[in-house]
Amino acid sequence: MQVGRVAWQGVVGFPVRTVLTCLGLVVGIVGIVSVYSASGTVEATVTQRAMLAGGPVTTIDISGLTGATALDEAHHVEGELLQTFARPGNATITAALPSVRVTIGSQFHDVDVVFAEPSLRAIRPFPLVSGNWISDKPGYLLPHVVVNQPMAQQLNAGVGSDISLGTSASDSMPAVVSGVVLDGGVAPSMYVSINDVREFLVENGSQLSASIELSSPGADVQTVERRLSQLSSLSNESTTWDVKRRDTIQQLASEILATRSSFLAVGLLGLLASIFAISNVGLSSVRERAIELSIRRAVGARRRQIPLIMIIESQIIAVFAGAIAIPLSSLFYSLIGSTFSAPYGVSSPPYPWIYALVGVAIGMATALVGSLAPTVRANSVQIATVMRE
Amino acid sequence: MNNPQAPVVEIRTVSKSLPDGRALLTDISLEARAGESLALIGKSGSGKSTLLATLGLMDKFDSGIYMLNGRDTSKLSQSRIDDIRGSSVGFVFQRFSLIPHLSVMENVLAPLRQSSRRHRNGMRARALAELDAVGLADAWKKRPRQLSGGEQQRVAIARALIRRPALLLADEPTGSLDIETGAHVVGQMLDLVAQHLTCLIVVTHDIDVASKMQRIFELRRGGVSELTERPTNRLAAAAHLSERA
Repeated sequence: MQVGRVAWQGVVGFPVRTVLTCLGLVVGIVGIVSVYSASGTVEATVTQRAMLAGGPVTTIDISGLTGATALDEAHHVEGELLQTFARPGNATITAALPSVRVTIGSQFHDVDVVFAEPSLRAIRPFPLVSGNWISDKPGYLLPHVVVNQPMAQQLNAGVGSDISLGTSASDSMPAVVSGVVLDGGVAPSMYVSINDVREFLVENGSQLSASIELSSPGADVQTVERRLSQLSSLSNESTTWDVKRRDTIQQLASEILATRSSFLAVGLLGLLASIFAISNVGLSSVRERAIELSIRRAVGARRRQIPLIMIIESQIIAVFAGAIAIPLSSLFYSLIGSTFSAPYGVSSPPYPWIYALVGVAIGMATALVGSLAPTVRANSVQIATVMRE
Repeated sequence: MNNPQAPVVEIRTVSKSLPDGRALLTDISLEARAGESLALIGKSGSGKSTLLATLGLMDKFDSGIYMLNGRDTSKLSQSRIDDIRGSSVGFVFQRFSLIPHLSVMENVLAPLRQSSRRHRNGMRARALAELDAVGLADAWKKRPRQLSGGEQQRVAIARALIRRPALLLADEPTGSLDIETGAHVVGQMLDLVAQHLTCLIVVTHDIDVASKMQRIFELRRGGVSELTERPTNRLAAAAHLSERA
């Protein structure tokens, strides 16, 4: 039996049914692929942010050092900790002052200032948008600072801009912007080399706090805490260490899991609606086609060939729907991607073409599920009914 | 060509009841040979169409034996029955039962599309020849709705005969046609079955149609009996049926 041809005759013979079913499938496929793409975009975007903020390696933040000697103590502890772990890792020191005032032109701005070593980028691999990262190399007349992209854009502080840093306890210190980075943050922030402004930091030593960021594949909080405890007892100092593990990717991934599940649930609801719609259209068409199916049986079609015709019909329509839905979902993907990724300042991943296959597979599966009820109905059509119509 | 000596249809003591248990056919026995034409007459509800559906392997019977072309159909699987129905039985229905979204050509080809590959050689030419035989070769592109009732019934006849079935079953073939067109269609059908030595069984209320058949059987009270006297006109036939009811 030419089941394929007979199925094709059914597809073209009932254009309204075909178009409605196709439309239902297109909506279902575009819905689920778009929603899935959107959640994928969010995840990819967040992952990019996480990479910018620390990468996939376990990162431990150690804080608790304060005062004018905080930087020297931090250097000592940093060296000791790096020898603790068998596997090589990176460590860097950052420092903060609570009341740094940043002036651009004559305007004060609320900017998060991080005093850092150049090695910070070994742990947080910020991409450089322009200029250069902070450096230890001497030769500059003024300290060179690096700003993040929001600061460059919002405060018009691009490469070459003159700014000044100051606190209530010290005079303003002029500096020049030497680079712009993409650090994943949305608020203006600035990175200043510790070595360039060491005197400034010492002047404000009473307010200074230092932290160590340790990034190593073998790092764990307990080992670090044990080692810090040993160091404290050796030096007879009573520092209160604050050790935190920062697995950014895992942390963010768990945060977006609920969002992604919600996305998927909405998409599945849409798909379910499509299945009901397709079943309904299919059932109506079976009622309409009972005579045709009986005639087919009367002229020799086997009982099992009738559902086969219905299933092949549904699959032909699904392929058509997939062909329409894929470019449409690609379009939606671009829109959704740009919407979700824009605030974070990172680009959304390109349309994953595997979704094309997934889309067609979803469409075919949906059409198959949607055609089950009509198929069962078609199979139960009594051949003798044709004689009574 | 079928062997005129061998019975195409042979039913012995076939019975069938309705789902509510009421007997519809009781110990029916009937035999028909290739080239023969039979009419089944009877009042509405007498079981004519049920008997026709049974003969066409579209409906099952409760007891008895039905031999089609020498094969005991009660011992066959459903798929084999479907195959035999496709290859050995042709149907002509009261309302033509053409597939509306297919062209005339595709309607005639439908039985071949259901058949195995070996029957499909030159099938369009065969379909065209069948349409030519009923005078509709020029209408092969048209849809059924573009044809008159008589033309649609002739397409149905072409479809029924394309696989050269041993048995052609017609259920009220003139029921939806005017008298003149009906007579023309029946005449054409009789010519074709005579030409192919097909056994024709017609269920009809129309005594004019019945009288054109070689034998006439009447279904009454679940049983079947052959009329020895042929009704001469409609009034006589109606009187005959009501008198025996």
